[in-house]
Amino acid sequence: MNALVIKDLSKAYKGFKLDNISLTLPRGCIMGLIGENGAGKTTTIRLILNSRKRDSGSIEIFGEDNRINFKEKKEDMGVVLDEAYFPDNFTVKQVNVVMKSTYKRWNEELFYRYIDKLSLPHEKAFKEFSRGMKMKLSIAVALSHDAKLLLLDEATSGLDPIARDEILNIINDFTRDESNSVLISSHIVSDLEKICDYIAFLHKGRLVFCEEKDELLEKYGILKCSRADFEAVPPDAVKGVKENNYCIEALVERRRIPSVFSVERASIEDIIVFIAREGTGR
Amino acid sequence: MKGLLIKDWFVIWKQGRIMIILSLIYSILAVTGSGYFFAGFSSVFLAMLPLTVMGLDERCKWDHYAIALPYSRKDIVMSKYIITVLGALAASVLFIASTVIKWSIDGNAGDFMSLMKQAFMLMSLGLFYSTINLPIAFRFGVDKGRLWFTLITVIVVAALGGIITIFTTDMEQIGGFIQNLPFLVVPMISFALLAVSYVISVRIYENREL
Repeated sequence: MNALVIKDLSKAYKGFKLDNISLTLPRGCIMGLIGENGAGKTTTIRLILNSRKRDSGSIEIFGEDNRINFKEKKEDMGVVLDEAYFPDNFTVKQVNVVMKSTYKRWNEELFYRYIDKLSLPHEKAFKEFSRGMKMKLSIAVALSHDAKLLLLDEATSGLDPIARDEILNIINDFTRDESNSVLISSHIVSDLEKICDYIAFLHKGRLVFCEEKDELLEKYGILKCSRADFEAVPPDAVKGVKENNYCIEALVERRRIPSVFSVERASIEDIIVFIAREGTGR
Repeated sequence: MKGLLIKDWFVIWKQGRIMIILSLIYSILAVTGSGYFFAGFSSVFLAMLPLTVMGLDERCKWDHYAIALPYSRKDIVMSKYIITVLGALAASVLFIASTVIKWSIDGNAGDFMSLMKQAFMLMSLGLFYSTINLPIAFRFGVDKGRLWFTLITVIVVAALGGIITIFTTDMEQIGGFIQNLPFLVVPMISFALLAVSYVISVRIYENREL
């Protein structure tokens, strides 16, 4: 069974439209939702959470529409939101007390293990936490009630590299249990490249692709050559071009490039940056 | 919903303590001869607690987070109405307790039934405040709703004033009318209006995008 299936999801606002998004997150996998600020990542997550109403399309969580029995389903979901926090005066202890009465399967011992592992103070008020500490606390909560699906909205943005690495390791550990899945949105592509099995790329409200990361890396490459040599490259194999006075750099489909050319490995960031650029530039 | 109520209690205890203390002072002032006007203040102060909590929730965007927890929107609305009722009950209990203490200090007990009636009136006042304001807060948020609170309060007061002016010539007549109503009529009307307000708030909040 899939953890999450989104079909033809649309939501329009004044000046923005999330347009016909479809993606499937299999159980046991991590999917990265990548896109520039304002691409529709948060809107997608809010629609999954039912905190906004979709205009059309469907969202299934563990095989059932997210509007049915959603209160029960949220027991199986751990959520970290970009800018939604605990009250300012809250301490870790108070968060534990509230969550103990919120989640049926709240695991106090596991929560405090995460709190200690992430070096969070027990008595300090939430308002005195740094952004990194706030995110760590939210992640500790999301992981302490036996959730099967984690939804993380920009959980690593604004954090220092060490904190980001710590959080990415925790997320990775979470999917060691093959029934656990993660949907994580970020505009920090390198973070997602480290941990994701699938990459979904949103650009201006549209899903440009949703594919397995390894397939993407296999499929695309970077070709660097002169303008004259570039004329020999099949046009439909080119997905994006950067040009300067000396050479042409292009994102290409590897298997369609003549073997005389040397094609370098493309990172996920390369793939996204090239595809996001409008047109091929040719 | 228990988690939501505990969370609200933590917030009230830290941030709303000043309102609880003021309510206590006003209750004491009311029974020590400074007028029942202060008792009304006490009741409204306690009735304002859910709005205070909602304002603080908005500031830290707790409402966006709460919707991701295993609660329905109905639960979230209901928790604020429960605080309203608890606040109004607390105001009445405070008033009764202060009066009884004063009676024992003075050494002459008053009419207990009359005291209960006054306490119920106080509770109804607090409930009425939330009956009007909570749906507005759920629709616009506490910050944006301030203008609407003021506007609607002015309209309600003006409408009541108008009705009184048209149908009576004597304020005491109204006081007498309310006094002569059966014991539980006013609180029952208040709870009925609060129930209607709850249904409206649920409908508003279920359609609100967070």
